[in-house]
Parts: sequence; C-alpha cells; structure tokens
Amino acid sequence: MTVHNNIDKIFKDGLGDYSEKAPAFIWDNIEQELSRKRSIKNRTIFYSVAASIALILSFGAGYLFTNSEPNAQIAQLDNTTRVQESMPEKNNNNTTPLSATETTTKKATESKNASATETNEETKIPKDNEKTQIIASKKEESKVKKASSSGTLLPPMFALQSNFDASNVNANSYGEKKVNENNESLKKINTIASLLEVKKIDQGLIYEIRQAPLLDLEDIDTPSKVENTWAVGISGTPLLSYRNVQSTNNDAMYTAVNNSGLQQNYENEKPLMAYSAGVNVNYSLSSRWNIQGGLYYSETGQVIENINLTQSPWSVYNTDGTGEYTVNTSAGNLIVNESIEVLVEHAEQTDFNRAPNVVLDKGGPELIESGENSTNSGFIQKFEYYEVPLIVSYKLIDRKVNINLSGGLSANFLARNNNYLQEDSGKSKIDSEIDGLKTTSYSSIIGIGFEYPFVSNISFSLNPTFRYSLNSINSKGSTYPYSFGVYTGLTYSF
Amino acid sequence: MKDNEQIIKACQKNRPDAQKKLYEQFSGKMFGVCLQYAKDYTEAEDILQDGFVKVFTKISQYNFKGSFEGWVRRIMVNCALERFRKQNLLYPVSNIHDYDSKMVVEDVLSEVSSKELLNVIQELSPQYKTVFNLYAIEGYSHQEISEMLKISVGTSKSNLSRARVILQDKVKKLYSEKQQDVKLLVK
Repeated sequence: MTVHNNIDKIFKDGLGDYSEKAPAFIWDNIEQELSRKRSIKNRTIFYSVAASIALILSFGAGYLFTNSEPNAQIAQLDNTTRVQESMPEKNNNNTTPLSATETTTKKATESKNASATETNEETKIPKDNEKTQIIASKKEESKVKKASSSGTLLPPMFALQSNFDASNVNANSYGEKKVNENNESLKKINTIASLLEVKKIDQGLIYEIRQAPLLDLEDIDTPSKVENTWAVGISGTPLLSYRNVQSTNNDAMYTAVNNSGLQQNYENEKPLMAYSAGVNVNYSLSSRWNIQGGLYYSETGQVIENINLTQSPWSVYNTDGTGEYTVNTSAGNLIVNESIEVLVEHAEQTDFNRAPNVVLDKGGPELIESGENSTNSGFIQKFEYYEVPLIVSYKLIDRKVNINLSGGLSANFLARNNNYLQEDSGKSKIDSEIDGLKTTSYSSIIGIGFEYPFVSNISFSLNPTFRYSLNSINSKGSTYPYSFGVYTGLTYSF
Repeated sequence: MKDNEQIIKACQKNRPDAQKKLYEQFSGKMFGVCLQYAKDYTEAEDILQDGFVKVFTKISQYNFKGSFEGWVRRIMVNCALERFRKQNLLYPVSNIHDYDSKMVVEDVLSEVSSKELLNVIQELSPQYKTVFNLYAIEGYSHQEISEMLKISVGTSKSNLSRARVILQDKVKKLYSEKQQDVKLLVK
C-alpha cells in the first residue's frame, strides 16, 4: 500500500468521467421550458410584425392627414407668432448672441453703416430672433426635432412641410421687406414654433418658454445625415399565386350551379407558379426607415385540372359543338370562343358528384351522356399585371446582414389575360375572355428583407413577400388573389 | 463525431428530435457533473434542467471549435455557480488550517467507488466544494476561480487547502472501513 499525496488526482480520476442516469421527468421539464420559450419568441415576432404594420398604417394616415389639413397648421403657426409678438422685448446689447443669423445681421449693420431707419428695422428683427432664442432654447424640443428628422418619432417630411408653410405664413403676417431677406432665420423660428405644439395661448406658455434652457441653433441647421439616401434596384422571383374564394358569383352560371344543388368548391383549381420582376427606387428617410416605389411586371393565375361537364336542364349556354362555351372558374366565367368538342372527347363518366365547370345545353346535340363527367383536359388562367408598389420598411437589425420588415400597398393594372387549354399533348392558347374581370386592383404587401452589401455600393437582397388583393378579381364575385415570392435582387446605393 | 455535428446543427435549427438525441447523449455525464456541485439530487436535477435549457437556447453560439462536451460541461458548471451566487452560498471562508498531504493511499480508487467519492464531495460546504471542483476536476487556475466566484486568489487557495484536508480525512476513513471489511471477510 503506497502513500498517495494527491487527493486531487483521486477525485479527478474517480469523478472525471462519472455518469449517472438522470430521472426521466427532467427531459419533460426541459421540453416544456423550450416550448414555452419558443411560444414567447413567436409571440414577440408576431407583436413586432403587428407593431410595424401599425406604425406603417399610422405613418400613412399621418401623411394623408397632414396633407389634407394645411390650414390647421397655418392657424397654429399664426397663434404661435402672436404669442411671440406679445412677449416683452429685451435689450439687444445685453443679450449674448447665440444665433448665427443674429451675428450676421449685426455684422451687416456695422459694415454698411446703416441709416437710422435701417437700424430700427434691424433692431426689430434681432428682437424677434432674440425671442426665437428663448423659444428655441427648449433643448428637449430640439431632441424631438432631431428624432423626427431621423424618422423615429415623426416622419421628416412633416417637419419639412411645417418649415415650408411656416416661412410663407410668417412672411405674410409680418409684411416687412426685411423679413424676406431674413427668410432663412424665419424658417428656423417657425420650425421651432411648429414643434412647440402650442396648447394654450396665454401667459402660461410664455412662462414655460422662458423657463426652458437655451438651444444651440446649429442643431437645427444641420439635419442628421443619412448616408446613401437614394438607391435603385432590380429584383425578381418565381411567384406562387392562388386565391381565396369567399362566396360564389351571382351570375347565370353560378345560378345554374346553385340550382343544381351542388356546392361549387372549385376543388379542381390549383395554384400557379409564375414569375414577377421589376425595378425599384428606394429613399432612406432615416437610418432605419426606408420608402420604396417601383414598377413590376407580374404574372399570376391558377390551374384548373380535369374540367367537369354536366348536361343539365339549367343551362343557358349554346353548346352545340361549334360555338362558344363557358367554363365556370373562381376568377369568373371563362367564355371560350372555340368548339367544346375537344373537352367532350375527353369526357368520361365518373361516380363522384362534383359541381360542373361547364354546363351543357339540354336541348343541344347529345354530346355526352347525362350525369357528371370529368375530362382529362384543364385550363391555365394567367393574369399579367403592371404593379406599382409603395412600400415602407423598417430596419430591425442593422449589421453586416440587414434585416428589415416591410409593408405597403400596390396598384395593379391588368396588362392581359391569357388562357390555355391543357391536354396530355401539351398546352395551347385559346381564344377566350373572362367575363367581369377587373382591370385595376389593389394589393396589400407584407414582407421581410435580408440585405447583404457585398461590394461598397451594391448589395444583394432577399425579400420573402406576401401579397393579398384588397379587392375581388372579378366584379361579379368575391375572389381575392394572393401570391408569395422570394424576391431576389441587387440594389445600387448612390 | 460526424453524427454529433449533424445533431448539433439540427439543434441549432431548433429541431426537437435532435434536442432529445443530444440530451440522451450527454445527460448522464452532465448529471454527474451537477451532482459534484450540488448538495443533493434535487439540486443536481435543477441544475441539469437549467443547464440543458441554456444549452439549447445558446447552441447557435457554438462554432464547432473545441470540444462540444467541454462546452456543455462549462455551461453546467456556470449554471451551478450562478445558482450558488443567487443563493449567496459562495461566501469567503477563513481560518484555514494546513492539510496533511500524506494521509491518502494510492489504491483508494480500487477500493472506493465513484459514487462514494461523490457522496464525500457533496458533504463539503458549497464554497469548498466549488473551489475544489473547479481547481481539481475542471482544471481552472486560482486566478480564474477568483474571477468566477468574485473572491480573492488567497481565499481560493485557502478554500482549496481546507477542502483537501476534509476530503482526505473522509476518504481515509472510508478506505479504512473498506480495509476492515476485507479483513473480516478473509477471516
């Protein structure tokens, strides 16, 4: 028995690889905890998306509201100006010049050796400027302004708009020549005034303004710089499109279907894989907010497999084998100006009871046997649109790979509608049209984007995007197309 | 090894089946680690559970550099330390005596089982146990231990010395009992 002086080694060797079976319930607890965390994560993502949509909507609503009520802003600015005028004047000589405008005015006074009248005018303007200093001294408001110009609290266009309006209004209210010369300084004054959001036009406000700390006007002169303000890009995607049928159309064909007692579920309709591609223009409102417009060419549609034929007493269509016939689809009634014989040749009686796509005339020639008949023929409906999207996006993660959420609207203009007869031998375009098809529609857009800058000014983007039509594709029914595509493209930033 | 990599990658994609496989593979060994730091089975179970939840939520940070088992083990140890810190069990211990380093026999391991060693270690106070485990079994230096436990290097050294004394006494006693048993059996 040898003496061993290393207790550490005993435990390291004895316990280093020690293993013991853990009780089974621990895994159940871990699983439960993980699924709880997963649901929290999913909820967070959902809330983030919902919050972004709410922001986008309020952004849009705010923009419309601002544009529709310019007079309200003018009135507010007038009130603000009046309050400024009612404030007691201070001795200009005793005031430390803080504004660049004021200093410039003084210099001009000295160099020109101005007359008494001019001096009076000039002393009046610095007094106004002095008031501005007091008003502008609201450092907090300055922060709001900065934030708004970077798009976090108010869209910058609001601030610019009020700036512009304010300068005009003030020029009118003062009615002085010098006002025009000092237009720049007045812009500053009114920008600040518009930000103050006058609640009460009384002495209380003046007191509030006087109490506020002084502001460096340089802060207002220099808006926060946003790099790469403009960018252009191209992108495209394979597009999977389908539709949501909310109720049946109320026209003759549908009436026939309804009378037949069969429910038209359009079970033989399938999604169509097509494509979408186009160009876009991006404008950065701030480091995180971005607005995008563009022009896209998109092809959507659906596939109708195994057309069903029914010879019934409800038909109102001429199906004598030579003229036109109508195929009932969820996008509307497809009126085909060709012979139905092709379909009939492929017809075979089936046992199942499905609503018909084509109703044959009872009084016409005996083309097929009575009852439900399914064919091997199908149709492909294609709708080609020019789309003009307007999308607002918010950068969630600003790293090497940027991640953003986007939402917006798109105006879609129907370029053409082509329909194809699909047979075993292949597909052929048919002379046809869809009754009641709308030529203009609007879609809502939501998506997530990934952007990777691989060269200094060029970035690669990947945008899984979902579009849902806000109006029915057909004026006679309630069928809402939707599509999903992963837009892949390149963006060049200026 | 290749299988492990695939399981880890699947876990990084939050696939439950892979998470279960990974748990089955490492839970035994990690439960052993937890038992070393815990005062009893209940506490070890809690540490194991917290540790694995952390493993699965942080697994995306594992970059396949270094041993995965080492990474998981470190998480378990950290979970144990975090737990003790919350319970304020890692207090400085003073009045340390030198230990006699010549009291333990070489073939202790052939007589005393790992389970018995584990019981001995579990009887230590939390601070002694933690410092001893981190130094003797995990291989951390006193400097690292002092940073992990927010204690001074001197305290870490003295805690280790004290832990060694206690462990030696207990192991020696255990070993003697075993020897007695053997002698009785021979007679």
